[in-house]
Amino acid sequence: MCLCAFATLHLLNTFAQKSLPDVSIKDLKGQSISTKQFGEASQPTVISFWATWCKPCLQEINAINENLEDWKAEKKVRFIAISVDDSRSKGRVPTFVNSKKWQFEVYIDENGDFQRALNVLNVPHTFVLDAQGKIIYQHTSYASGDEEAYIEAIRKIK
Amino acid sequence: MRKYYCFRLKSDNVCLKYRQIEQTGSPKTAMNNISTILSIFLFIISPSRIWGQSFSGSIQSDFQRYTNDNSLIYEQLDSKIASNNYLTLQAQYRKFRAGARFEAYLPPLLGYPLNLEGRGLVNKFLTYQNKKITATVGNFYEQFGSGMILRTQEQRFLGMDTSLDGFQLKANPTKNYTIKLIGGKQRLGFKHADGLVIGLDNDFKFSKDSATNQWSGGLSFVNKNEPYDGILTSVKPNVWTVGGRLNFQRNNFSFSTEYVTKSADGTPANRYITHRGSALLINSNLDFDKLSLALNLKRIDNFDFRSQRSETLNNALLSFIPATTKQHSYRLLTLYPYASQVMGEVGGQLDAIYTFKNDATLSLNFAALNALNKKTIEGEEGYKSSFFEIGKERYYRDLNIEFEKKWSKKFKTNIVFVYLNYNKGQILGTYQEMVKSYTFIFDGTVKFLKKKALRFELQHLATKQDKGNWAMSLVEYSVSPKYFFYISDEINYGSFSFEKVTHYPNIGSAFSYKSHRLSLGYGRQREGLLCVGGICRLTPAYTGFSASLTSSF
Repeated sequence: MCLCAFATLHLLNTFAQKSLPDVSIKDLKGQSISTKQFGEASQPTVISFWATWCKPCLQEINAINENLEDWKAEKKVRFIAISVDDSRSKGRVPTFVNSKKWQFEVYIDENGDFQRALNVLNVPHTFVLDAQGKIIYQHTSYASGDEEAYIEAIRKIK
Repeated sequence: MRKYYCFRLKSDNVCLKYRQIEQTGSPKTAMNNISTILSIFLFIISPSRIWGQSFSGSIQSDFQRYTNDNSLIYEQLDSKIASNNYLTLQAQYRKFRAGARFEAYLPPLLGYPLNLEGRGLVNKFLTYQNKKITATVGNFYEQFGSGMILRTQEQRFLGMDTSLDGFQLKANPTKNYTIKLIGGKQRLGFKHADGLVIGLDNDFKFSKDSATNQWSGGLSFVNKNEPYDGILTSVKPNVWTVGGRLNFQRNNFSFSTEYVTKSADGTPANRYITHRGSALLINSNLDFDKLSLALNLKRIDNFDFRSQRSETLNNALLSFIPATTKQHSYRLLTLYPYASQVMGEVGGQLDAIYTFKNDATLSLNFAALNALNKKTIEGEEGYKSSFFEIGKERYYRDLNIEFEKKWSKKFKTNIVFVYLNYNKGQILGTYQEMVKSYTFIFDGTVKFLKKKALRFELQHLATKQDKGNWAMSLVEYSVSPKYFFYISDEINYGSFSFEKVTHYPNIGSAFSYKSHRLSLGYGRQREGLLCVGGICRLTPAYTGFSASLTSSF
């Protein structure tokens, strides 16, 4: 049974989604932007789905934020955080960004359009894209130290 | 054959009734469904290799096995095994995107809605998208403004899917104008709701990109047409809603407001009155260097908007009224979560976050919600309510303070104090009781090596009402990026007497590999209200084994 499960996982990874879908989400000023541009920056990109009420998400973002300067210096990494907060809690997003002094891009996917298009089931869920915008690694949930896997995936890009 | 069962805590006098799933479909039907989904899978996979198109999807399977428990009473529990299963597939080919989801509830997990009996292919859609236009036929999710006038959504943890099945057209004729036109019928279990929904939304941007003062706004219309052949004159087949919104932003200040109103709509929920519905929401943010402030205000008056008037709970909901309270994530604080009172409420919340120099954050949040001041009048209108008056009945008070500090690279703490007033009768619809509680939480994380961490939580909730005091302890150990273990115990005890103590122990583990995750758990779960946004589902108490597999690909 285990063998079967791993064979399925392998098969799924072979056919897995390779590029970003084009969906409209909003920036913190409420302006719509297309998600297609996230894969067109010619630099490795880390995209993390989070919410203000999700503790592991905040741990992950803070951990990435602490390493971001080093990652930028080493591999020119671009980091994007996508909040899935709805109209109940999206007002807290700019409050978080300001109070935690986050210097990276933050967008709001209020009704889950981008989340659905990328088959994200739970937050946190993180994607690593190479410079061509191809998804090379993704990970769900967060445990202390998981951020190492993202930079390792980027280091492996030839 | 339909069977009912009932379970409750021995100490509790409330008995919740849930219906056991009726086994719909023979094994043959199941095989047909499986072969349908397999053919779709193969259909998508085979051309994906030829044309190089993008193919993706996800799998989620939640399984529970219930065991007998002397502390909980199960009656007529027919099936001791339950599982919810979801398989989603999507394919992109040039400017087209198509997808479908297969859902099977064999039978549904305890507490899930009754109308999810069985299995079937849902959420089928085909979308065409170019730079100016996005057009969809089939099922879609949409939100106008803050969602008060229209929000169709999937909240899988609540067993809620209110997607519309019909057409959706979005266009950007100019850079500063977006128009959306939608129409269709809502998903209701594995069927459609009765009402036909049509909607139009306009979104304007009034300012240039470079302007300091940024103004934007929108206008929405939604119509529901649901046939009615009864004799009540307060029930209207046609119900109109109109909404307007305005947003302003200047440097570190932002303000947004939305007002929606609904024509006469007699339903069982409002006891067939013709009082016009309305909802007002105001949000404002102000940020300084170290201090961030957010204020939300709202007033909701008879605003339960559904595409089938006879429905209740989260079924066929068109409107989404956000709860303007903090969404707590610590376990004991989920005992008393607030749910929006769509029949009438007024109140708001103030949120403040202060950041200290030395990696410490202090968060303060205060929320207060009361009833409307309703004056009953004779006739179909039912009541009058003055816009600026606040009713005397208290629904909710929440004062919470959170202090987070990172002491070193290896040690972090979070301390939380919460004072809560919870109108249980109003919010849960049970017996009238105002629960006053004090909760204290200590949360610490120790990071040993680069990839190993230990987290522990101690929580205590003190109250003289409802079921009395609760305490909880939790220990989590994680080895990044694959393994995760936890052990926890929640205890419920009377007024500082340990004679009648109920334990809710749990143990579990999870294994993650890339975007796949398998979690296993065993223990006793307490009854609780699971909430997302401002909508909730009651989850019953049970003892048993649970397993969950999620996978995105």
